[in-house]
Amino acid sequence: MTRISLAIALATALSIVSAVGPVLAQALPPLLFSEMDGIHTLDDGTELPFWGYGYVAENEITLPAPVLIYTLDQNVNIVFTNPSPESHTIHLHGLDVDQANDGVPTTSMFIPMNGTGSYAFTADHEGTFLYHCHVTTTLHLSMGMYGMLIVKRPDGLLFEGGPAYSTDVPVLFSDLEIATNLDPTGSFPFHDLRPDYFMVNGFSGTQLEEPEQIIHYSSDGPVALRIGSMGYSRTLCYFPPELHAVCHMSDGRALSAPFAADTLTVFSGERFTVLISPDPGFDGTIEAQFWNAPDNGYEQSQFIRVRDEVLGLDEAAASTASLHPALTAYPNPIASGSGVRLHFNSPNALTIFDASGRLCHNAPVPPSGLDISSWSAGHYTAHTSSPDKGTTAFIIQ
Amino acid sequence: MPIKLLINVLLTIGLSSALTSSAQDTLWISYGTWVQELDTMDALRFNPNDAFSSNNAVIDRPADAASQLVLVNNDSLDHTLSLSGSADDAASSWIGANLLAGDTTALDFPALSQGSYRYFLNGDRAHVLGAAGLLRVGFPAPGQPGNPGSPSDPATTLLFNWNLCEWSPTRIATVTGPTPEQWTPPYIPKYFTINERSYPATIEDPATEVNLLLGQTGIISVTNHGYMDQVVHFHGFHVTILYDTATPQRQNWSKDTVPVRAGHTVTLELHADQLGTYPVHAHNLIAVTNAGFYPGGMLTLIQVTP
Repeated sequence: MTRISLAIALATALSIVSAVGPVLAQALPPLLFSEMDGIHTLDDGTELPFWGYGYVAENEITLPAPVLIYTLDQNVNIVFTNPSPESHTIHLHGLDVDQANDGVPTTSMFIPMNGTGSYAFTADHEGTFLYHCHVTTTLHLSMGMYGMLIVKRPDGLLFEGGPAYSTDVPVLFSDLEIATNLDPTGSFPFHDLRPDYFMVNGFSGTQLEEPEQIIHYSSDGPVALRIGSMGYSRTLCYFPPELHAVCHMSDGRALSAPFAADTLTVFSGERFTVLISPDPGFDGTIEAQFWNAPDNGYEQSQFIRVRDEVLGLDEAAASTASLHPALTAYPNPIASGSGVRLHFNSPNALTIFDASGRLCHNAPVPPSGLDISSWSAGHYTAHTSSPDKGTTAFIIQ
Repeated sequence: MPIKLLINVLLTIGLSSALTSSAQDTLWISYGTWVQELDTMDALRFNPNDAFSSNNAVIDRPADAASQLVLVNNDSLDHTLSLSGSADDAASSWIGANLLAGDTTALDFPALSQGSYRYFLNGDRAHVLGAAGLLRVGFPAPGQPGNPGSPSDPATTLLFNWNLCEWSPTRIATVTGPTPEQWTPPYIPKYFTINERSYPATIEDPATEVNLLLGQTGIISVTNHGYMDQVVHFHGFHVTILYDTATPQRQNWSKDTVPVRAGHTVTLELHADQLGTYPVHAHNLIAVTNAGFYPGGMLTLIQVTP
């Protein structure tokens, strides 16, 4: 069992405690609590205040909040207590719960300071969902009050009639503005919130190289990446072709036509379930690019490492080069034709030359790809000035 | 120019009478100002009459039928009109005739397939000032052929439209002087609107707030005429994507969180299968503010009643 799947199993066990009908709600001890005194350690060692949720049994809030796991058709009752100095709620994002349990203060209810309440629903759709506070949402979300919620089928299938898989791995993108977390009462005006720290499951940079953050896969079957975003940024994921990534679900619903995912754009609040079936011996990364919303400008990349478990946990043996993968073009080779677009795993400016050395392109390639409709068949090389990416070649057939 | 104005009026009346009778057969391009919280901003809009309103008009057309639109350009500059939307090449390749300042022009629209389209004036000045509206094709209003019944009939499909945009007073000021100023980033929008209204005004507009009877279906036509991508989250419901011009492969996906890329349109179907009042809002949460205050902006309600 991988460390991540172990964490999910623990979360499942804790969540099952709440698997009773709403009639018994008041008899249950609180499952979750909220506080506004968390400390999150950034990649550079900075200790940053955050607000969040945690399991009462663990008496600790986390960024992001614990992953909640339920079983399809389970009657869920989340008892929530709020010893913090402000009101909070839990909005069950995407679960289409009724108005009373929607977690919006003005249309539902809020849990005041030192109050306790409960949220009841039936988990009637399998899939990937989110939960977050809906009080002064712009601020409370940025401060860290969010988590992922997964509804699984008992038969091991992704959805009815869907593929079987081996393991769930949550991949929750989020961001924050450090100045806001340092001084939330001084964070006004909210329209000028500009995130400057970008995370995957709360971790960033070298933190994502720690063994417990690496997705270790086995030959047991595909891994289900439960991808969601609670960020203010748009996240653009690049899946290496060796992962054979296929997107099967979005927002808790099966797609009628699953699609091969070489890139995937995730907006705030969206979710996707992507199955990966990595080649044996693979050790590489999924690049997650964060793009700011108002300017649509590139901010930063984070790298999610995927590694065959037979390679072991000895990080010294792992190639650090794989953490910042070489420039890659995909699909490669690519068939020529009208509307054909070629993608690269880099937002930086690229210079592309054909086999005769003629300059064909000298600019960044947009996320939608490079239109090569008018390009001749042949062999091309692409270069980037980024020192950790370098050069790649591709063929137009 | 009184003589020219008279000609315009006569031309407008004459052309309008030749078309199906409806206010949306003629639109006025009008320059004015609008007030959002702390700011008074210049604005360029498409209005259904010659009085300036800060709300761009919605145009309805049947599917697969050519039509006309009369435009009265009351702005001080010439313009051209374009369409975008659907996967319809007839829209993307179409560009209207030159709309001379102070003049009236009848434009021939191509036959368009069902969907939501954005009609807009070309050029950065018109874009920044907000001259863009929604063209809804192939969705008959209640009581019209193809959608019989009244709005109170549970079998009737109701229509809603959301014209999304974000606004930066600073950026608007760069295009309103006699000489356009160079605008420099960062782009920091201060207001976020649905149909040029920000919450709570969004719940006073029947085209914006989604009011349905239990069991009824609503069609929500959405366009984004700003510079910033938006993403709309529905509480209480999943919606079916009928059309999505940015990502056409998402047709028929069931989603609760729907991106609406800048310059694009989506058409959504919502089935009111539970009672209650639910928010629907932009999920990039800077966009649910007015001048930095929460709640506001791109936020409205879904109300489902027995």
